Amino acid sequence: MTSPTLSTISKTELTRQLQSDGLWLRVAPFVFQIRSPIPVVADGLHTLYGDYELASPDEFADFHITVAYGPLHKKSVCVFQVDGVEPFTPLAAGEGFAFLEWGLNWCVTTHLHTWLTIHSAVLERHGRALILPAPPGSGKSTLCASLLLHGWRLLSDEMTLLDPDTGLVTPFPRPVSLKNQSIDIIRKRDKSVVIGPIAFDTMKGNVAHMRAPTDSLKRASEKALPAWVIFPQYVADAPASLTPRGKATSFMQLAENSFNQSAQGRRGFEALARLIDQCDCYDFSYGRLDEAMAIFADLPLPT
Amino acid sequence: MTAELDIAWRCSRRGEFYLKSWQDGMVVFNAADGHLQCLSPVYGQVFELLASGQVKSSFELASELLAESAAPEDVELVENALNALASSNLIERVTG
Repeated sequence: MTSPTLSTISKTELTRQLQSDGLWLRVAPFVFQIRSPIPVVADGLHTLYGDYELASPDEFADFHITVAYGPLHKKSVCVFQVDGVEPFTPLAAGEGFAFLEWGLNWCVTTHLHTWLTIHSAVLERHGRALILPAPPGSGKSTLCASLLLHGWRLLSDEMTLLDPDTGLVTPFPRPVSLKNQSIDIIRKRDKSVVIGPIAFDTMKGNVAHMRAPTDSLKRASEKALPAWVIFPQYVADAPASLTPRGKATSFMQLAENSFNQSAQGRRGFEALARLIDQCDCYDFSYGRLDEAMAIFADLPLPT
Repeated sequence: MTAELDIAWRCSRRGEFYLKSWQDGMVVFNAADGHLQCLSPVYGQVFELLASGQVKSSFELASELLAESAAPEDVELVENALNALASSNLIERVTG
């Protein structure tokens, strides 16, 4: 039996829950309790999390989150709290939903070491996972969003959760973060794409999130075996180019993108080595999404 | 050459290191401090010999890597690797 989804409650009821005992939301593989009096947080959740299951307040919540108005209840700023602690300085209240998204990422990467976590987008096709590790500005999320429109399944836009014992990636599908021109680029590629509230003039520029595909959420329990590690780089007007790269250097770059490889010690080292062993590794530069999509459509499986 | 033969090298902390080799090099993980290093293929081969517990001179290492008696330029290449590995605190010089 499945639980009702967030879309089954009205926005008024959602707002009421956020302002009282909290919204208990299953964002597989986690449960979050979320509280917030800030309208843009309710807007974002209502627009982008409709397909997520509501969890029971009796359930164990992995994190208790509050996005509250700032010090002295100033309504111009907001703070992110997890279990009563404020790990970040306040942001503008208009960034409340983006703050929630960034904060959820931080909660998982900072606290959960069941997995080896890697800063990357990760998608799946035919049972095999594609890992796209990259720093901000590399075009990772734009590429990820576009691949979702071309039949790939979203495992995560922000992190790979790699099980060190099985080598499988655990899905953690959530809205895809888009910045600046990417928001309109993705909107124009598919008019049916749902984009949440835009946070203007953040430290990353204008930020909005694209709703995760329903199919990706339905299949959130299906893990995937990595097949490709591809380091993307957007270069304006450059032709798309996929270049094989060495595994030792790929390991090092992947380790730099890992949040906890070092903390995992030998286990993390061996998990990352196994991941690299089983994957083909590439550098990928692109300037036009259509060319990029053509290359990813023909990506060969590792031999 | 005689002076160089008197200098041997070893990896005394080999129990702390985990190694993984690929065609383009070797990654060394130091479990004691969580540090990672990437070595070129040649440096990786030299380090692997010492990390297996051997104590050897540059000439012996060069000969073992080549499976034949090493020429002076081969020994020089290995010595460069040994000095770099020592600077990275992966191996130590043994004199006497």
